[in-house]
Amino acid sequence: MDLTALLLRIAARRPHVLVVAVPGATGVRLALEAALARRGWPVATGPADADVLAVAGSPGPELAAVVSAVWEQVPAPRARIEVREPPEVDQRLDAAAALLADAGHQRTDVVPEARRDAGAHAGHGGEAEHGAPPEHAGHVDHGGHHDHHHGHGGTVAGLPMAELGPDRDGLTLDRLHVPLGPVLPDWPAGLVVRVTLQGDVIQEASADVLDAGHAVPFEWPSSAARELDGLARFLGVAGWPSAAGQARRLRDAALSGDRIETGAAVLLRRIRRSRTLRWLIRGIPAGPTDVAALLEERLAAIEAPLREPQHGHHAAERLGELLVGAELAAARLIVAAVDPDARHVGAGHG
Amino acid sequence: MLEIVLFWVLAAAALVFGYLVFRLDSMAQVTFALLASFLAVAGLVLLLGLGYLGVVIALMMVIEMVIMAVFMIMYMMNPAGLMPMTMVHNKVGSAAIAIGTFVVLAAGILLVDWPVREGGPAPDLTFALGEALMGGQMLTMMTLGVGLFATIVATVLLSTGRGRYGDER
Amino acid sequence: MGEMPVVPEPAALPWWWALLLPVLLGFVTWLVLVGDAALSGGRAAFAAPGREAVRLVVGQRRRTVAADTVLGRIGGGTLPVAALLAAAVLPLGERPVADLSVGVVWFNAMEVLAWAAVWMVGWGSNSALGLVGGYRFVAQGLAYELPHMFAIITAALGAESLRLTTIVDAQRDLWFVVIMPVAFAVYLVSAAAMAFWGPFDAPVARDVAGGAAVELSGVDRLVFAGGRWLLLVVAAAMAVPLFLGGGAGPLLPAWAWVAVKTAAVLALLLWLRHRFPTVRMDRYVELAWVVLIPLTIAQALAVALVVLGGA
Repeated sequence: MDLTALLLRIAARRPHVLVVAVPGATGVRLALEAALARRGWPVATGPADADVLAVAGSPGPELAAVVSAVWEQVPAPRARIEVREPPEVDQRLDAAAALLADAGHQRTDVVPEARRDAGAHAGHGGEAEHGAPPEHAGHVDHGGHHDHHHGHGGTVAGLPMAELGPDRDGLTLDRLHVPLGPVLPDWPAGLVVRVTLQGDVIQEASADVLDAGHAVPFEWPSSAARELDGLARFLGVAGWPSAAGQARRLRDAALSGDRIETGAAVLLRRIRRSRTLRWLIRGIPAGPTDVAALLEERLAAIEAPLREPQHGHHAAERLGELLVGAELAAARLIVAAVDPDARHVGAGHG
Repeated sequence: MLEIVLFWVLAAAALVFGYLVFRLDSMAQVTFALLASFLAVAGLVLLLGLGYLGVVIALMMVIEMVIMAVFMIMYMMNPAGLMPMTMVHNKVGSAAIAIGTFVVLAAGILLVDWPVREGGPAPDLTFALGEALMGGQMLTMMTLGVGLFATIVATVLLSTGRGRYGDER
Repeated sequence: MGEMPVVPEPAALPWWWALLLPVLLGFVTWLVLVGDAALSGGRAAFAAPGREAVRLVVGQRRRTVAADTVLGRIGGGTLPVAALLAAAVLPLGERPVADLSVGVVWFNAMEVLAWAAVWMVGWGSNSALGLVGGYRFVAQGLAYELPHMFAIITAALGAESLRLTTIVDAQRDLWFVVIMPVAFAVYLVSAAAMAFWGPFDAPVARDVAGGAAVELSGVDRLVFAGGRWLLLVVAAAMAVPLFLGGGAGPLLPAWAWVAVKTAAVLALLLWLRHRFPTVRMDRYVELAWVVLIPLTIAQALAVALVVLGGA
């Protein structure tokens, strides 16, 4: 009896799937998410947590580079699939599970230690070219070089050091360049925000969509479903998984043509009544408006599907600016509230 | 027997981790080496039968060292812990002070005429410790303690204004 | 004032319970995991925790560039060890594995080890998001720890002892939850916060892709996640001797009452996560310091007056 083979088979019954969404291929992502929910397979938070790397759509050259960088960070046993059309989803997922359970294959597919891209794991950006270094690195195996008055700059273990810059109190603190996205949980497809961090406060930010010219905008069959999708992501970032799950179920129901009025009313009441959520998102500025107002706009659009939210589109054009001065958690909420569409992200530099 | 073994193990651990504080070259590892040294000392205090003091030393040192790690890495010479560093400054001077202190203390241990114990330990050492420390001044100490604590909390809250970043968020 | 209190004989379980304790806690943790999987609507809830554990056991451990493996692994291992050491003073029924005279402080000291553990894990992987997670837990610790200390000291004050068995005995007539409801509520909140659970999961939240645990895979992730669950179970179980009368109750034996009450507290904590979104540090520190600390001090004062009046 081969114990490893048995364990692999057991583990393959419930793999964690990391979904990389291609801008414009929203239909494939929705089908993939629905299939995962149906199977009870968890969505991975990052490469370390993943068994299956699932690319939803056909990536352009920039995103393809990211995908291969992320793939190198996925620990074995692992499987990689690319789903081009919604009907393929189940077949591809079954193939991935079969590959995970295949002991012979997994034994030969050992991740090479040395090839793991250092820059990529800072933000799971895995941008092959722009991979920014993590600053706060731990102990390094270096020679016996003892000199505490080091200059900043230079490289250690192949990673560039952080540079210095004044913070808002006039102290000179480290600045770290981190790409956020495009592989982050509940993050808009293809979006990359390059931020300069001091601690967890964003000093500079510029937003970009990978392969911007490549994407064909997705036509949502129902605008309520589109808003519910954005809402589910916002609630995920706000750390409210039960409400986010409710929003996703409603979204899927709306997509399959079911009536969702009652369910939507229940969810909206739950969100509007939550004093905790209001307390948490109150006073986080997002341009002329704030995160709470953007959320309310989205909720209203779910109730009255004809009212398309406007603020969000204006905000998306200057996303980079909006994030300057925010700390990381607030910045995630701002991005999720704005929920920029690939078409609307400008070269807003902050 | 077990106590003697434990004593030597803890004593050695306290010294070795203390030594590592000056040998390791990562600020984070240095901080936790210092913590490990303090925890060994807390174990020695526990061996003396002083349960409350020993556990409180462990509790306080963990909190203190974690907070110190954050501040040291933020402000001191080795922000990222990535560049090589050393905790030793003025090697000759510090070595002289260290050896001098050790000699004085060791001489004290060997030369002082230690009194012979009379009577047994109190049944509840924690209670006895509180009495010995505070005695008749319990009310004063408590008032002072609460006053001091309230001052710390109020000062921090006032100095931060609203939230971490002033009025804007 | 001034007279030496009578010191009760330590009432510890036989030594081999120390070996049984990890097994027992592991079993309870597994039950909680099954319950959690069932509550969150997962299919095959009974098998899910087992599959997850197997998945992590066969999973490859990864290393990031310039990682501080020493601190990272020590941190991960500290979490379950701290939870088990904290559980040593927990009365399982009437008697704990170690009946320390300073049990409450011991529990506090062991639970605080999680601060160091999570920070070391976040630091160890040499990842920006991991370090953000680690720092978040320290900030969260500063917020929850002070109200938490006042809450558990209030229970000790009510019994005039730091020994958990004495605290249980002092509740023979009246559970402490009745005379110190604020302390109990604050304790529950800080139990969730110390296991970075429920609305206090910002250190390992989705918005930073798993925070402190972002780069963990394989056995490393299993130890970290398992330690966190153990900590949650132990923190929940500690509410029983501190506020809910320990094993006291009609008909059933003491251990059964401890189990029932612990399950109730755990159910409450599971519900807490379902009910509230993640509370970010910058907001929670304000609440903890402006509202909870004064409330717990007032609670301690009220209990002190009751104790002085009754003496």
